[in-house]
Amino acid sequence: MRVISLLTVIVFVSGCESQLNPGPGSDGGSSSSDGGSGSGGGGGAMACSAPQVGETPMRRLRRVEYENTVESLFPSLTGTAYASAFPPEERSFGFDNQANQSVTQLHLEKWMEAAERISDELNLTATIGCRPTGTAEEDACANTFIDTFGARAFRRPVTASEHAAFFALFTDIRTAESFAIGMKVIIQALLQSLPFMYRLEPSAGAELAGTTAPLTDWELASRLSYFFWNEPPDAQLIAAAQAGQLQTADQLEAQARRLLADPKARAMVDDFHTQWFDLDQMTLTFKTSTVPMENRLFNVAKFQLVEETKGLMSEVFFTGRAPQLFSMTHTQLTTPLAAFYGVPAPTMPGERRELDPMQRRGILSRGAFLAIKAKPTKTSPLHRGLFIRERLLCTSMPAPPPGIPALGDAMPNQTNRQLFAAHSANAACAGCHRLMEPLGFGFENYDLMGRWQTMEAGQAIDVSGEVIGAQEIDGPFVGAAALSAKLETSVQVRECLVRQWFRFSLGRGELPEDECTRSALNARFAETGGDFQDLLITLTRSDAFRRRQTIAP
Amino acid sequence: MNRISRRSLLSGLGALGLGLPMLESVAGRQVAFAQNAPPRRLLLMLTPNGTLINEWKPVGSPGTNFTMGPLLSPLETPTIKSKCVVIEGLNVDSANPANGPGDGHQPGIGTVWTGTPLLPGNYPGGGGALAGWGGGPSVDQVIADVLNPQTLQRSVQLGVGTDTQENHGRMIFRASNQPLSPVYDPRAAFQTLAGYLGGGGPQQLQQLRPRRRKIVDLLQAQAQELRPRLSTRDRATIDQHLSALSSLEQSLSAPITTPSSCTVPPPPTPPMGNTNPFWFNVDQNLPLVTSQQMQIATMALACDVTRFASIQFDHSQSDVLFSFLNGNGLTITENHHDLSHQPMSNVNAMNALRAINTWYAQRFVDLLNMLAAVPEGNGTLLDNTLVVWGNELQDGRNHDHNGVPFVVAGGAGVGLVGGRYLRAPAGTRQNALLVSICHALGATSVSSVGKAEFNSGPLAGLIS
Repeated sequence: MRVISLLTVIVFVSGCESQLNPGPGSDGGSSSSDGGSGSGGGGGAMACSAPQVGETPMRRLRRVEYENTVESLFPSLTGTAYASAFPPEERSFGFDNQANQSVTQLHLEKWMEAAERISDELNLTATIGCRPTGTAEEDACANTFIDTFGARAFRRPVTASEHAAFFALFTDIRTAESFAIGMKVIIQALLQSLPFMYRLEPSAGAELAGTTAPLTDWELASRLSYFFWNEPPDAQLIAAAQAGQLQTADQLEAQARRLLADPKARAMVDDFHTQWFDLDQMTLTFKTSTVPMENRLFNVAKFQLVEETKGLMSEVFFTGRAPQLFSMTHTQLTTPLAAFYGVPAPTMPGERRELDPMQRRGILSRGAFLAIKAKPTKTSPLHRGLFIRERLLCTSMPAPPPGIPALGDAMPNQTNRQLFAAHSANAACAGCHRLMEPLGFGFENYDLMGRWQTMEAGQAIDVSGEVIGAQEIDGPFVGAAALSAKLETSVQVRECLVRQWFRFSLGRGELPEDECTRSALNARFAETGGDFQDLLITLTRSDAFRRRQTIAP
Repeated sequence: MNRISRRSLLSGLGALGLGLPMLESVAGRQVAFAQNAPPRRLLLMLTPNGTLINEWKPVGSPGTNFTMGPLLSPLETPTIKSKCVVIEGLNVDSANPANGPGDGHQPGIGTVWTGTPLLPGNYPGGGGALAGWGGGPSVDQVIADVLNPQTLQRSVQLGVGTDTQENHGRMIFRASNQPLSPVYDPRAAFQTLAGYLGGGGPQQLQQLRPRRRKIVDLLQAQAQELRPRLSTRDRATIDQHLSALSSLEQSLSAPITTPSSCTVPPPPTPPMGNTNPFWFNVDQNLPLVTSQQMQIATMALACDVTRFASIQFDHSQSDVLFSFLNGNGLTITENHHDLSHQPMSNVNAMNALRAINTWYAQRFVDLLNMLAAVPEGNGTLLDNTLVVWGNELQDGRNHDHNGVPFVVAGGAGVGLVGGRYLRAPAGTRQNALLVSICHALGATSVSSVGKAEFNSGPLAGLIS
């Protein structure tokens, strides 16, 4: 059901013409009109008095979260890879942390094996904290363990009926085998339990459908810790949850600021940037330039290019403002990067260096994006343009129609632009392709790996392009620097950034009920000039983060 | 092959150095093959980006008097040809953009075995099209639902370079909206399937099972208790969970024995001198990984770990760079998908596509030979296995889903007479083949697979 409703908030149109006029509730910057006012104003204001929130499904621990959670429960088991055999997460919106994960027998078997391995490898006595003699002491030990350890595993207190089930399991196994095996089996069962593997936000009792309810302190503690740190709540969050001190927006903000200030939050930010920009695809990005020297340069530099982009984006996140993503001209230079960008080597690695602002303006002018969004043997204006369309403008286009004629052959002395221009020249393709290649043509000054070039096939390269269907930045431009200057000021890009963080933090796509939250976020993000940290803080204060829909019995 | 996730980079290989776990999926139970007819098995194989249909088609006329087309020339060997039926003219209407969501490449892979269009969803395809997961169970799962064999694994999904997490990389569906992911690391696949046979043996497994069963009981009760307190959407996830728990419970009760025809190949290892932890997703290693996964599939079927296996090559719109085929005047510098969009006039591209499609045909022959090498009853494992090789497309240039190439192989155990060239009547859909597959496997009650209006009975003349 949800997948259908999602379509109401994503641009999904039968032809690319309607792309140009995003309607209410659709993707293309619909809320820009109320983006400037302070309190989620505009047309949606009348509906925003009562809290609203889209449905947020239960979220399963990702493999990295599983590892961190196990490590937090069993400090002696650090550095082991228990989740490496789990099936990989399925991606949605380009992100691997989305809620719509399927579950199969293979998943359950892998969780079972991991739980058994963990219970075999941990120090049992240290974990359970008692050495009972006699049945009564054993019972007491097990009862205490189920409550204390169970609460840590479930990130909330264990209920009476849960306690009874685990204790019954323990006594069964003890009778059949031994006390020690019984305790191990408790651990195994806890680690395979739904409240361990998932972050559940169930109803407390009978509820009226169609309204919203606040999340519990425990649920909020988990939302915070897994979002900012990919791990279970730490001692301070547990204490706050126990004391009921996570219910106000200010209390949440204080915790969010604390978590965001910790170096662990950097990994989360890097994770977001990596997935948003497909940086993990560099591992399998190979280039076969006709110049062997160029291939060597690229191979030496390619992972440093990824680090460069991650580092610059992280710098903007923590110390800058969103528009700088498209305007920054500096880098943290290493020797391979210097060779790649054709500038003198640094005196020390990581030296801050200004690059030619005409050549290297913004994150889209750097090798990571340019190489990943290109082919092994040539550039791809299509893929570079498509990336901007989807990931920076948050628009989506319909399928190519059946019966597409093939792209023509590349002739000798034909430039890449001339080859790809076939898409726009052909009426059957042009409707959609004019939204992609004309963006990508601006990047033809960068070769298949992102090195600067001015000549191709014996001709001076034409880097003129056009933005279509992106509201106020529409119009012709010449070269990537000019395009980046447009993106830097674009309302649609700014609101797309908000949308990407919304999806990443909540593990789901935006829904109609999130309209008020999103327009408030858009307004605030505009007011702060694109302050990412403030955006995440504002997100944690929002209804979408703090409340859930009620559940009819 | 392009999507190595950072997550898999992090997770690394730690588990693989450890002792093999005691897996239920491996306990290789045996039906009394000697007394009864051996069980019937199904093995699905899918290759990407279409073919060059005129060079794929047999030369000659439908029937038994024909020669394999150039792209299927590896199948011309008598021992192979006599086991194969080449089927021309099946339309995969479930993948036609007019009938459901998806781009040129999402629906081919996601509907070819289900016979029903994709669900709407939010996976962006080429050009930004959006589509969801499969809209119904794939044919193997349909049969497993009917026959419900008491095996350790309901089905086994293997992949070669299938490191992708979106719908253009899933072909097997447990049910509507429930993709089953292929295991793409051969070592993980081997560990799952061979752990028991290569590990501690039946006694240790017997010791573990009572504990495992009791835990499963607890987990089932827990899920039932939580269910009413969750949203409608979460309840659907809980139902998937409960269904997986009952499959697990079933395998925990399956008898533990070791079939005589069951032999375990050596564990898969990376190529010599490898330093890349993700060697199994590197294009250069495609031949090695193919061979390893095919051996594991053969073992899974021979040991009766499962009756339903599948091997998926990369994902639809595969971007494998087949540079390992270079030589003898052939130089491949474009990936498979890019090549598949080149016009016939591009001689180099056509030669590359010929080499690629012939390479896939050779791998299909390898697979048949592996199955034929396992003696079983009065014949071989191949005689009791229906092997079906399909493609996401017929023609990659225009994403044509009409006349998609299929080859079916097997023997008397599954009612297949090989050595034949079958031309389906105009307008026949692959749904007819899917129904015939059910009948060959013994699920004769099935009269329709996938969308009802695409069905009009089995494919005449395929199964005797």
